[in-house]
Amino acid sequence: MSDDSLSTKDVITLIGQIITWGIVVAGWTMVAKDNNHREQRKEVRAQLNELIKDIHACGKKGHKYAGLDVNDDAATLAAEIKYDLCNIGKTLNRLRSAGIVTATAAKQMVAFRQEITGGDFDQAGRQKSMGAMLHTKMLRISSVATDLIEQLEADFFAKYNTTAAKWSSLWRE
Amino acid sequence: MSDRITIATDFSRYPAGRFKADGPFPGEVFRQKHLVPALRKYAKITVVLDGTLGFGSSFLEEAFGGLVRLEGFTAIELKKRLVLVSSDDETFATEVWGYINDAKPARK
Repeated sequence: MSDDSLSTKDVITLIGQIITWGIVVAGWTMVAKDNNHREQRKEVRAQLNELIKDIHACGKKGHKYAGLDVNDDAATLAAEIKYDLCNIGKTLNRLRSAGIVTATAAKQMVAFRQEITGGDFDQAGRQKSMGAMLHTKMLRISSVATDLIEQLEADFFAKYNTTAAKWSSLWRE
Repeated sequence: MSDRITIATDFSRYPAGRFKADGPFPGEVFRQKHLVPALRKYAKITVVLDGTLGFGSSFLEEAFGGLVRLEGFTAIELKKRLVLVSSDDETFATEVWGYINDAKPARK
């Protein structure tokens, strides 16, 4: 037998080293993937929290607008509402393109915008809602805002609170 | 006049209101000055909704729902002849098609 040939012991050692390195690489890959997933989840959650805050704020402006007569304050508020809705819509669009929110959330967004800016919104002859009418209008705005927020939460839950995500959090703990 | 209307550049970045009395850039004016003439001239038109600082639903309903309510177009016809581009916020296109589908011709 030549000295160059590997002994059985050497082969076993080599296989052992390959397996060890294989486990190290596989472990590192899993940890890296898990970290990326958690980081992405955190970023999306932060974005979603901001979006929800904006939806609440816009809904409150919608309440206030419903109780205002045609005057400068109403015109200013109408412009603010449209600008806010524009930004909310763009953020929602980005989240939808990234596969985070669904078409159902987009439909809820339409309902939210329609409730606040439909009817006589921005019209010269509009009259403020009063009493029970104002109360109903405010509740309708709150209702569509809640539906939109609930849908965003459901979409987030469906995307990130999967079994894999739960196992990953167990590992972390 | 072109078969492609970009609301932000051809009409206004600040469209607002429903009727002429509501301000300089309401839905009624957009419909009468831009949409209807383009639809009468071209077989197919494209309307770009991107680039404005937002729309009120009242503007969108008057401009697009008004095509069916007041101008004699049908929803089926508009589906073939009208293309909406709304890449900033796709929900605007969804909303507009909702108004077109829901609108009923006004009785004369």
